[in-house]
Amino acid sequence: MKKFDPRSKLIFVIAVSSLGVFIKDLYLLSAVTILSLAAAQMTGGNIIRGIRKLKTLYAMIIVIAVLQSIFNNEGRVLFELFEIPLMTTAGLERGIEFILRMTIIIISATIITTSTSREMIQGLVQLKIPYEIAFLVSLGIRFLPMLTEEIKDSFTALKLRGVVLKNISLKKKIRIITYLFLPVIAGTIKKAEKIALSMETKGFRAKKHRTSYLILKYSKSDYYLIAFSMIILLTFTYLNNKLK
Amino acid sequence: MNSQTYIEVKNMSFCYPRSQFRLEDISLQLNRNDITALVGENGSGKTTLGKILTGILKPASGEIQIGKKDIKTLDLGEIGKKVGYLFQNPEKQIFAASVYEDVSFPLEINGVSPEAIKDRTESILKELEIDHLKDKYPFNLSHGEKQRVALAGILVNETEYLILDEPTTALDTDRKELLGRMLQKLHSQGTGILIISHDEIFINKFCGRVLKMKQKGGITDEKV
Repeated sequence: MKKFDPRSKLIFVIAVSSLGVFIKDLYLLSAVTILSLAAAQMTGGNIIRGIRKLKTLYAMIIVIAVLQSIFNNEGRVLFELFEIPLMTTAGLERGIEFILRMTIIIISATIITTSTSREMIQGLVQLKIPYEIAFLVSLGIRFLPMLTEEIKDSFTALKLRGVVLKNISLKKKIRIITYLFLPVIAGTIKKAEKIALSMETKGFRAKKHRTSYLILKYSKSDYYLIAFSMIILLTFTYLNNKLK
Repeated sequence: MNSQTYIEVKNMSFCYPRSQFRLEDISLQLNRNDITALVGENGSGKTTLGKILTGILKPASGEIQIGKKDIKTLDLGEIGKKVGYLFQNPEKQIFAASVYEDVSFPLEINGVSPEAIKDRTESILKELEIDHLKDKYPFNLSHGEKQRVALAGILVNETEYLILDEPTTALDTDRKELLGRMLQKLHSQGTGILIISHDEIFINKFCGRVLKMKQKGGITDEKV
């Protein structure tokens, strides 16, 4: 597995994520998805885990395809009910586009996670981003999975209080969801307070200038990856404009 | 299986993903006529076993029955109505903006009459000596108070079995005594109790049976 500098990975991720957002052509979008999957494989990203995360979103293809088919008059009708088009070729395309865009974004995230948070902070600092902001970004990234875990735990604990969800009305279900917010928000604020306190005790921002033992250096493969990112960004932008 | 057995574990094994830790071939019966203690060294799997017994964690193999029903057929909410579980960290099971609401809301959701909710909630708050805190915001309370609020939240459900994970850690001597007496009272009313604890004095005073977890995942009955 090739070890890349976090900065080159970041440049590649920004390039493919931007392409994933603005490209409209389905074939070009598919090509960008394949490229991001290849890059994730090359950098050692956990593709299987990324795809597993997308599992729940796959069902959204159908929902988006149906909604787009009903409200968007483009494309050939594939299936209709009482003269309402439930599935059109354009609707189906939008559904597939959605899942490809999400795949690109999630796979990009797996590329980022191949660097440790320390490497990522250092990468951002060497890209001239202030250390405080770089640290904030890295902390935010680390907080997200903790938040998901917190919500899952609270939901388990809530059900264990003897709340059987399948037997209750929608109104009560909505009320239960509001009960989930309190422990999650309170827990997150407490964790943030603890982190802030431990940062203070370790002298965060005590001195104006920070030195670092870790200094990142670009290797040949990093230059190739950056060049490759620029080439695909420009080529796909050109092709996208041409196909409009 | 005797007539008082409420939770039965048969040849149960469990392992966490990407971890060396495992519980192997555990079999045990927990009875409603016992106050049982589960002891063992740090990392021996006491909390893990408690979480398996309440359906939070799923075993890799084996069978677990709660009240003669296979745990696999029960939803977590249904388990919660039969077995009350007190987490090591009480903050995990506090949900509402006031102590009273936190203790009473599951009853309200489950359609218990307002009079019964008031009676049950007020009596449990009084019994745990937290009735003066009923309008307080639970997250601002001390650890010991939060623990008693969480305990009230599970006791109000009048479950047939209780699993308490380290219930005495944040309690002073008087409150430990109070908890012990309350558990004895519940026990005399037919509630089975499993206490996961390191508190030897408390265990010796209130528990009739001691289960010891061994480092390699086995379990032994130390005192009956």
